[in-house]
Amino acid sequence: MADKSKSAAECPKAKSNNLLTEEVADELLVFDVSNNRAHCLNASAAAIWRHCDGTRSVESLASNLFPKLPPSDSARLVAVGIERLRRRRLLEDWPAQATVDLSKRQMLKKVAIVAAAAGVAAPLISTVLAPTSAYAFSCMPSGMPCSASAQCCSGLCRDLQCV
Amino acid sequence: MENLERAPWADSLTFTSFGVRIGIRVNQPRFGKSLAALLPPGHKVTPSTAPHRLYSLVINGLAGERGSRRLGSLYEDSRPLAKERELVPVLKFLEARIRRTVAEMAPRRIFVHAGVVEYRGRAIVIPGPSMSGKSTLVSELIRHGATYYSDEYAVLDDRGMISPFAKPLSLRPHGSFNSIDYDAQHFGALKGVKSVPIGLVLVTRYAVGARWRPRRLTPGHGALALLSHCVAARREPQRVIKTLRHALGEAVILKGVRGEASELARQLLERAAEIGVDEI
Repeated sequence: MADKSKSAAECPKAKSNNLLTEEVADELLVFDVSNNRAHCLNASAAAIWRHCDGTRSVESLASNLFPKLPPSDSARLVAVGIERLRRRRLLEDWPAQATVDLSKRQMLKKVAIVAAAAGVAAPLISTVLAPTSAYAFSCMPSGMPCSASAQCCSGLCRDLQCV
Repeated sequence: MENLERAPWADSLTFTSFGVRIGIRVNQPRFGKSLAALLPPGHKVTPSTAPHRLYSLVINGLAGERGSRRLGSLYEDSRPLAKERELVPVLKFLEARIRRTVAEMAPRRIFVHAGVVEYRGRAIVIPGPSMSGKSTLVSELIRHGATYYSDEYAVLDDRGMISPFAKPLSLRPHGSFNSIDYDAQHFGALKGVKSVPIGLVLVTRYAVGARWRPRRLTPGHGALALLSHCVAARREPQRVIKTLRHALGEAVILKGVRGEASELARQLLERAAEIGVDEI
């Protein structure tokens, strides 16, 4: 349900440009073509991201997605998810500063425990940088021609030859 | 730079591998056998039509001439790639470069830098960077009864099935950056011939004295682990993530640090024999 009382700055919107998605079991793979990063969103993170349409506030998302949790806990859960999405640049026009301090381990632990008790996973996102094609090849042994140190097993290319 | 189009070419051949047509030419006669030895697994020699990529090997000086210096220059299309006083490193470089070209340009396959064996109809895939112990673990798995598929690339088709890419295994003696090539037969193993689905992905690296206590990864995290070593991840991300979804549908994905490869290979295959590769 859209939250018309909130301004756009309070209603997160999922980024859609330059993103490729693929569902893998209950997770969502998102590949960001603009920075060559691949993200794996667990079911909770994927649900939050999919519902970020720019018209719903954090509270509205929370009550929609996690109705079994107390409102303050569900809002915190969504806020953590939003912050993790923001850090991965998966949201559009969302404030640059953090909305939740993810360095507070106690708070994150509490969120995870409360969520687990209600049968919900805390929103998690794992990210890798897609390799350049040069990285995904076997390295060259000593004495072989090279043009960059990364090509050599020794990690050292000197005078166009692997050391 | 030599003018390649005017050079007198004495020998040449064209072949295809996974849909990539590659030509090689050399300016000296009697190199046909040497060129044939460089071709990648699964190649087919084809009539000499326009290749997708052409390698030109220019050799100055003749074998056996006293005092002659044999300078080998290698070009990829018209781009100089290597110039060496010795021919062996140039030929080795060309061999690796050809496999790399196939991996980069194959139109209907995804290449992941990984070791692969097959056991009881399922592939065991070990993705990882160079020097992470892939080939060592592959050699121990085939020594213990698995079928050899590759120590360099997992080759996936659009359905996520794995094809063999059985180049000779390259094993590095301890502390050396140089490898020695072994045929699968050296380990008493067969080479794979048919496509198989993935049963198990091992995300691992060697550490002295480590005990194998893996944790199970979700299919999504398994996809990230394979994507991290995928040659075409940046060029064709859509096809890559779609293929990985198909490939990991039934697979178990384990992550952990391993100790000696021999012990892990024995454990894994004993367990796989009892309950199946995709139930480990």
